Amino acid sequence: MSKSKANKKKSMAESAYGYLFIAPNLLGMLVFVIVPIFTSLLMSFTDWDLINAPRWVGLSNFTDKMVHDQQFWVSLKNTFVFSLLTIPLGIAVAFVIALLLNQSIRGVNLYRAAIFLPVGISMISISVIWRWILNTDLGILNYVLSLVNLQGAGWLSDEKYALFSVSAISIWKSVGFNMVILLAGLKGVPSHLYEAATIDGAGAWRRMTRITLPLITPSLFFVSIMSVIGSFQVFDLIYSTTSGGPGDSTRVIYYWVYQNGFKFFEMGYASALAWVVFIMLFAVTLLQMKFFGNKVNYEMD
Amino acid sequence: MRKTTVSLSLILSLLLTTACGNSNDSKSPAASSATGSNASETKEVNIRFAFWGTPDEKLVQEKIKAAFEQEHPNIKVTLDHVSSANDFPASVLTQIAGGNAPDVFYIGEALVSSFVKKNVLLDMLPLAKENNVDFDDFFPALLDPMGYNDGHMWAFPKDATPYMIYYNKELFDKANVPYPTNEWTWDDFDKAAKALTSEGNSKSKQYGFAQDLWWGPLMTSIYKNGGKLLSDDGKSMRLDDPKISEALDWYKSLMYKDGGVSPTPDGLQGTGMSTVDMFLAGKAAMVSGGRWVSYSLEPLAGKWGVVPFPQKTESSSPLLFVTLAMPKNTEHPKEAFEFIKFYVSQTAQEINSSTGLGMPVLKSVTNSGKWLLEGEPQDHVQVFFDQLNNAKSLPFHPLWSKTIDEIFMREIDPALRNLISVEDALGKAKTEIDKVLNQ
Repeated sequence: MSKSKANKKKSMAESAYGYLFIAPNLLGMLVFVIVPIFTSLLMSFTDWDLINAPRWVGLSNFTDKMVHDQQFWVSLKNTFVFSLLTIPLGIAVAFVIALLLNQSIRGVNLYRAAIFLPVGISMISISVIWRWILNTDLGILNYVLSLVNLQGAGWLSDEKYALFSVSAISIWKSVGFNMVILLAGLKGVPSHLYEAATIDGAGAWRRMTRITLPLITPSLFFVSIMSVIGSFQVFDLIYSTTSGGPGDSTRVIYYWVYQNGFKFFEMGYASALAWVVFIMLFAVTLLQMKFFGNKVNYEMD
Repeated sequence: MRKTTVSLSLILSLLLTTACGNSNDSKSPAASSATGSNASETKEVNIRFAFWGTPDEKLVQEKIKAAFEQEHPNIKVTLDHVSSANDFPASVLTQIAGGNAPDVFYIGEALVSSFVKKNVLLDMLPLAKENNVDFDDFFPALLDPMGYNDGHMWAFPKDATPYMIYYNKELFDKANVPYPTNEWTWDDFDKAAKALTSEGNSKSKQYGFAQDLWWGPLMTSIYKNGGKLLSDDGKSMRLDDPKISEALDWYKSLMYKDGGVSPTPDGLQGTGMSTVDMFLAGKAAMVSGGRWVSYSLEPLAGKWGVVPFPQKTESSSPLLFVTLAMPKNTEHPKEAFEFIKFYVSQTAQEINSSTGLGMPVLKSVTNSGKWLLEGEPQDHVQVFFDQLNNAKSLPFHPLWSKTIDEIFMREIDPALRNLISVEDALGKAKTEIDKVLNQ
């Protein structure tokens, strides 16, 4: 056969191998991600109790049930408040720690590993530990406060404080992950820029705002997108610390989805709720990319 | 060509191993052979029994399984144990929906009607009649929720308990308070609890009573005051019934009136103990609970007594119970029923109640007193028997999870924390619940 035909055959054979190798992954993706997403979209237009056949109800889950569902609005509000508490503080704390650990002091790797450790611990273990630390009368936190004559509060048992406490635990768990990303970003800032700035008389604050922050925007961007998605999707933390309580104060939207789906067996409505959250999250992420995206500097020089 | 075969066989073997790993989604390893593949070759049939419980409860099931298999050598029971009751209903329903249901499984009292409504249970009445089950030996209040009075038997109760008050004889003696009686009223209870409550802060003082705050004691209080939960047409919850708010006000006052005779929710959380722990530690002279409390009372052997939950106008109260049910599409209805029938017969009922975790569901076994724990006085037989025999059933509506478990408990919580009045809480709960019931 001619040379070009032979080449074409060869490249076709090569791509065939490629597809073959990613076939298992594609299959898994199809079966466990794409099909369920599509199914849940269909489910959100039905009333389904898991056993009997789903009953088509069109948009009523969205327009009728959800709009009048007081718990939905409460959960949404709680999720927003949780996100507003967790995201800026979480990123700021991670950034400060990354700055501090960007130096070559002795044992810096130990500190980095220690800060990263909570990321690798299961959420259930973390919840159990923190429930004890924050216990009103037996917890270490209130004990320490009492040593300096301060009245400890019901961190997880008082409606006023529960959401703050849960947010603090979430920040504690994720700060390691964000720190590692930001640290990698910091390492990528060429040191000659700092030297030049110092020679020109720039103080530490100016160096940070004019050099560091602009040049780590890719990492900041990544961290902020992940934080937004993570805080909207918080569930296991709530499930294992407060179960939505006390009262309604920590009931976040995904906890409400879980209750509707697996406690009341209203799978259709639960799917509808989940899709509303997805659309919201998608919109927020798009806004983030639009607003923040064009400020990200991917070039180093 | 060699490269192709090697990579192809690699991919194939990977696919095969993942496929085999995922096909067995049930918790017990023998389950994949449980659905009747053995039936044709030997006479041996394998049934799967799914239940929840502590490791001790699992031991009880193993004893019952052994006794059953001895009597029925051709039926093998695979035990499918889950440690938490909370997610059990969801997992059973998922298995039923997936066509891989256990042949026998637990259903808690509050959920029987919702399972019935979903039309997934096998009506066991024909099988029961064929096997000459003696329905007269069951406590009547346990049969009604099973649909017996409507000509069905959707599930069989396997153990039951009324809500009782356990008291510490030593603490009563020390405070010179006469022991509670089977007929004592809320006033008697208040007086005794007050005399048994010491001064001091919540961490160090002794309480007259340690109360728990889920719907069990709340509903018991309501019924002991003659309150009724569901309207006759089943369309609304009568949460505006003054008897209901009166009962809950009384139960709440135990925590707050005159300094309280029972720890508040915050106070209880602060001690880090459960109500039973407080009772065992001598920090509370009385504790409420079902029969299951006696399971933990070994350290206080011989020093505790039990009486019915105090009454206002009614001495009868609801029962809490767990049932055994079969899915409609079970492959071995006859054998599964043999197991259930065995479970509600004398041998198994004696084994099941021997730990003190629950009472037998049969009058004969209850009267025999074989379930009494070591050192437990004989008069407890009459105490429990009367409560079981004269009990009223709670209207476990199919939407119990959403209405009582979720809405009612959520709305009453701030009232129990003394943040709003019981009436306001009940009003809010009623509006929401009626909306759900009328959907």
